[in-house]
Amino acid sequence: MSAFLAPLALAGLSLLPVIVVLYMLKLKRRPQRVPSTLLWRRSIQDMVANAPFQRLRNNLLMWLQLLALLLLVLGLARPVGNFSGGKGETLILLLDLSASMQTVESNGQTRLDKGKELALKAVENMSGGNGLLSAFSARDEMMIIGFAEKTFPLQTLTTDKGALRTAILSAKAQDTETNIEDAGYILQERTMVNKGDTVEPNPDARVILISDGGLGPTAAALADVPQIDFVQVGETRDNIGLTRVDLRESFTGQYEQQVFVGLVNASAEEKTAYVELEAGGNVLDLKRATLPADGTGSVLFTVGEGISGPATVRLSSHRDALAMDDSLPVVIQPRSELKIQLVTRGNPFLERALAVDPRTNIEVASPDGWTLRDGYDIVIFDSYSPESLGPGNFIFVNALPPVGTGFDPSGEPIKNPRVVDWSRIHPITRFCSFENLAIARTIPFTAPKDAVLLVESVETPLIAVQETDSRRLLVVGFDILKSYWPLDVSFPIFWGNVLESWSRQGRGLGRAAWATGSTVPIVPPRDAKIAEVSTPAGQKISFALESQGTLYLTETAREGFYSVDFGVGQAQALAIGLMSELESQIAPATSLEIGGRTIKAERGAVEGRQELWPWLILAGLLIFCFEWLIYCRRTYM
Amino acid sequence: MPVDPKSLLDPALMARLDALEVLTHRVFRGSQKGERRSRKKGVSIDFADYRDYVRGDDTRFIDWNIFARLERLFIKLFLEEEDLAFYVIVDTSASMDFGAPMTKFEYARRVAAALSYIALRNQEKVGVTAFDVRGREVFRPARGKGQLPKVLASLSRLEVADRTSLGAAVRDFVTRCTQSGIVVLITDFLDEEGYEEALKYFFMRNYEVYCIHLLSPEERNPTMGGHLELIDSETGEPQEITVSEALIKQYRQTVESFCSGIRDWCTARGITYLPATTDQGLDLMLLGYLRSKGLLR
Repeated sequence: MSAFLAPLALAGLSLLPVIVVLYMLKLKRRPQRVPSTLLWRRSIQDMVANAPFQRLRNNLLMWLQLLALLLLVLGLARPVGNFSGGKGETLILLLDLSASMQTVESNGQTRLDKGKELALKAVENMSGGNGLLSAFSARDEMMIIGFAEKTFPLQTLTTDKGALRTAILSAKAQDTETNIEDAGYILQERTMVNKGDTVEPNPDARVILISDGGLGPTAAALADVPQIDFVQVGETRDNIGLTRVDLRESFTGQYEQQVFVGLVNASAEEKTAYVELEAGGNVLDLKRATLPADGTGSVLFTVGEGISGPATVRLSSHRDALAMDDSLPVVIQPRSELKIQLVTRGNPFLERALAVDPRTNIEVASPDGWTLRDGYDIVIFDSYSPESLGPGNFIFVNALPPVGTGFDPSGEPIKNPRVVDWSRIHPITRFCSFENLAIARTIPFTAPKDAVLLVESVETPLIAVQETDSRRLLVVGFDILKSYWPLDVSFPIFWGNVLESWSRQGRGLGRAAWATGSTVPIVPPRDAKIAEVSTPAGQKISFALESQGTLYLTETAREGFYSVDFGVGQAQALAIGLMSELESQIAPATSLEIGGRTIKAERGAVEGRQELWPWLILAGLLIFCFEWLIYCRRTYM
Repeated sequence: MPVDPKSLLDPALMARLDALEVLTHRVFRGSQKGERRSRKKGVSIDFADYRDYVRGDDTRFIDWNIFARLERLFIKLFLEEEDLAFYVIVDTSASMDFGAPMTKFEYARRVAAALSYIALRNQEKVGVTAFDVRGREVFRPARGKGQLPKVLASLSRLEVADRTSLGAAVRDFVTRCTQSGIVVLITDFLDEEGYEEALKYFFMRNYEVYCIHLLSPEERNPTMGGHLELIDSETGEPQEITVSEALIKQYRQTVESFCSGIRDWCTARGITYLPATTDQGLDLMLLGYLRSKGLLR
């Protein structure tokens, strides 16, 4: 049966005797004897008859009409009751565990706590087969799925309310962004049924999504789920978050690095934030940023030579609803020399472009008698290709890598190839324009499937890159000296991008910070003895080093500094932070747009879904019939 | 309450009433010889018609001049003169015991006494009936000036009593007083059962009916105010009212509508309706108002 959500309100029933007593009280009137009250009564009747309103009189017909109308109107409003005794639904409860669910609302309760509360209510209101209508009803079953960047099956399908409650209470908020894609696949499987050759929605399956609504583009994964009830949690939107951090070389000072920090203001008014960069217990710098309402901003710190290692970017003296995006761990990488071997018979343009970066130490070698030696970060082959390659970073200019790498020639050299497309987003070709690139001749080749074509002509790729666990290959298919490229502004930018990108990746831990939940590639040094990662929670993750290739760290759900120990030298730090504008934008959604549908937020979904309108309409009509019967009896008696 | 019979008629008023007589607009059949022309043929000096002589007729009424001319015997017929029945019906219900400067009952009793005096003085047969829930004959129809003290004594003994039932009273009256004549009904018409059914009984006997509708000035223009519990003098039923300007205005309209309703109903049926209030002087009522309405001359 339905429960009273506010049983204290029943105390209002004590007012009923008060009303009765009020009706018993009378105005004290002066008695006066008159010949007859006949004309006075008529006067009063006439006044009442002529007045637009009259004193409300107790009338059974009126009460019946009011009651019937009330029932009919309530029926039209389609109320849903939380009666036990349903039709045996399959309920799939999706509980948002993403970082934004750690938002603390004005009542001190986090959004996840509220979500758990609602989830428990949903469990409580499942048809348990023990209600008044249990003889006519089937039992509901429920499964619980938590989702953040990953999906957590908290409880498989069951009718056991105790197990469901335990699963809900065990759910913990993650430090990661929302990604409901995996959960979407599970939902499609559970909410659709095969009927012959066709797949149709399961009418008995219903999804209850408890979230603050920040699902982002992954919400599209729910497009094929037929019945979704969106139960929204959250009210506040007062938050400033650090959403991005990046470390790059300073273009003004040779020995400086810059820390770029992105911010977002989720609140509806303009805010001023102070951002500090702290390392080793000392505040290195403090910057001020004015953020427009519901807008973004950034600050830039300059870090001098000699500062490296773990640091923290945080909002200074700031408190808001979501605390976890108020600080961000970063690792300032030490400046290191880039050792480059250029195997060429002479290419002054390339030498000069590489020398722009002050970190580079270029060693020019002749192709004659060249042998592969360790100790170079990048080896560049200009118009020369060795017979074989080991692991490392290699660039081929006007030459193709050896056979077996997947880069194979595909015909005679092509004259005057015209650039038709290039990648604008790849780290190596970003900020470069190849629109007017004039090339005299290029080697046509086919790239392996895992290679990325950076610049293409109609006939052949011009520049392509392949990255495998142990080796990177960049192929420039044409002779630089027989093109106008060295005279184009894109030339030094291209080589700068190559050095910047490969130098950080080459060290494996090059980024200032990684987003929580992301997969972090780690390239162990050649002399690594072990590979062990310590998480902020104290967990140790060991990797096997047989292949000597790139290792991938996936256990990155928690924010903080991770320690990577290779058994040689000092353990290196790895910074993992939220860095999600989606999560920092904590303004709760009132509806979800999924697959062209608008799903409005409602709390009723967790309180059972038995519609009461047929009973109310029936009761209303019966009362109308009863009222009509009484009316007729009064009229004809 | 009983009063001195002499107080009902002021000698000075009696002197002025001596010049009046009851006027009828119809010819009624009387029970005794009188001074009113009857429908019957009789022995008065007014010629009415001829008829053939039949054996046994009084030969004194044979018209010999006709016989001389036509050699046939004809009898001369003359109009009969009979007395007139004059009934006064007085409402003695409790609602009549209100009014100023005198109560409606007192006023009605005096009007009844004055009309009886005029009728008796003109040799009419006068009967007086009082009614509340039923009619009570307080003075059996009789004629002659000598009956006046008895009439006055009967009227002086009347007392206001019970509820009004005009219907029962008129029904009693018409079954008892079968001789048609003039009926003067003095009442306030404040009867829960209405007046229409009651007055219809008068048409059975072809009475010439005069209704004197008597109200007190307070009833027409009430001056009371405040939160009141009105007690009906006849039924004792309470009616709670809060006197307001709107209610007083509505009450006046109701009284006006009530009176005009009776007037229209009576006029449409040949009954003369005479509204009166107790602050009207008896002189004005009898010498002016009733004369103008054709009851007295």
